[in-house]
Amino acid sequence: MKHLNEEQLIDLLFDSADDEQPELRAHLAECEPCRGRFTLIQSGLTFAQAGKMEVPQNITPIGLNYRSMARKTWTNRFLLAAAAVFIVFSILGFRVDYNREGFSMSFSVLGAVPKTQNEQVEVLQEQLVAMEKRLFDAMAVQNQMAYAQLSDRLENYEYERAVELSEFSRQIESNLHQVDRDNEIMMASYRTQIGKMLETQKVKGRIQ
Amino acid sequence: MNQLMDVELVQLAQEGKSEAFDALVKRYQNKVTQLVYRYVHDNDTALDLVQDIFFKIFRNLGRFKGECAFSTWMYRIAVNDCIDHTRRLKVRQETSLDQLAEVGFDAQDTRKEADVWASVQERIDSAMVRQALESLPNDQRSVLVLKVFEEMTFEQIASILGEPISTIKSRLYKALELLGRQFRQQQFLERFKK
Ligand SMILES: [Zn+2]
Repeated sequence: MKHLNEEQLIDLLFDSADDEQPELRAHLAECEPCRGRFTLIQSGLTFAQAGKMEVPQNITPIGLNYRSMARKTWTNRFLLAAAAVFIVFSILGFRVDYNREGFSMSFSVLGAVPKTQNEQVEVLQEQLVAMEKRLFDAMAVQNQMAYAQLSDRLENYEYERAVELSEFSRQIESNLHQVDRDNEIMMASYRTQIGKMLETQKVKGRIQ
Repeated sequence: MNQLMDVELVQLAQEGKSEAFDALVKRYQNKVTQLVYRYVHDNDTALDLVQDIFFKIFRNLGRFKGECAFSTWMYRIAVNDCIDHTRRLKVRQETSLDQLAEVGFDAQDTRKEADVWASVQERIDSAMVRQALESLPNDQRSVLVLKVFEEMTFEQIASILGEPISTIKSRLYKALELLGRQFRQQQFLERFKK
């Protein structure tokens, strides 16, 4: 009889070769090399079984039901279409919020008419703060959108997994870095501009 | 609902009956959670993956035409999700076999055991085993988790992974061979320490 092959050795280890079993055992008892290979995978099994752990009681998934999933589907679809529009809105002066439930927005620049020079400076400072806030929001939305695209794409690859996922996530990551860099540059230029405006207001205030 | 068979529940869920889908979730969520946990060894990651898996099941249920058992189809999605997860993880932190050698046995443990096999379970640091399991190629790891931890039959595993039984067996052989070598290496290191 030939030496036992990998499948036969596995059958012996898991008792899964019903008919052949006695023959295989007989060979194993007589053949030194086969016994060597068998004890090796036996050690491997013992080693693996030592790593088998009981699943902790405290992990119970929540929210796994039809309703929440139907809502999630809707949110995901809505998300991609809406995010681009909201970025434009946020630059124009709307406040954009994003959370697991979706988006919401409100108008954030409330233009109280300034009366004195001091008030004008205050208003400008407030506007600077508000603009920074909007930019941060816009940045967050952009990032969320990129991540949403990433997870959506990943889902599509489930059945067509030819594309290398690692390469793809590297690309997304570098896109995200680029978005961050762009935002920083934009922020810096806004700061300079508003700083100049504030200076001009102060100088005017002194001259009067 | 709970008395219905998978096939019936699937059909009702495909027609949009939310109770049918919820019944399927209830029937399988613990099994899937267990499988995923044994794959990733981390509570939070496991919960995230389980959410993701059931969401995929929800979204793709319409495309399921009953070409195999629902549970097989579901486990296939679960295993693929676990593999994708570990693949993404490996990009960030390449696990090496050298790391394994750094995790040794407890040097204080001076007991002399006549029967290695009987005492081995408690003596092996499970973190070390986990590292060894994580170092296996994904296809081998899947077979190992399904056979050794989930105790499925070779037929079930073959249909979940969509491979012939012979391929499954030879993958398991390779996985166990690799683990066996690592185990012996550890035993050797231990002897060397004393
Ligand atoms: Zn032989």
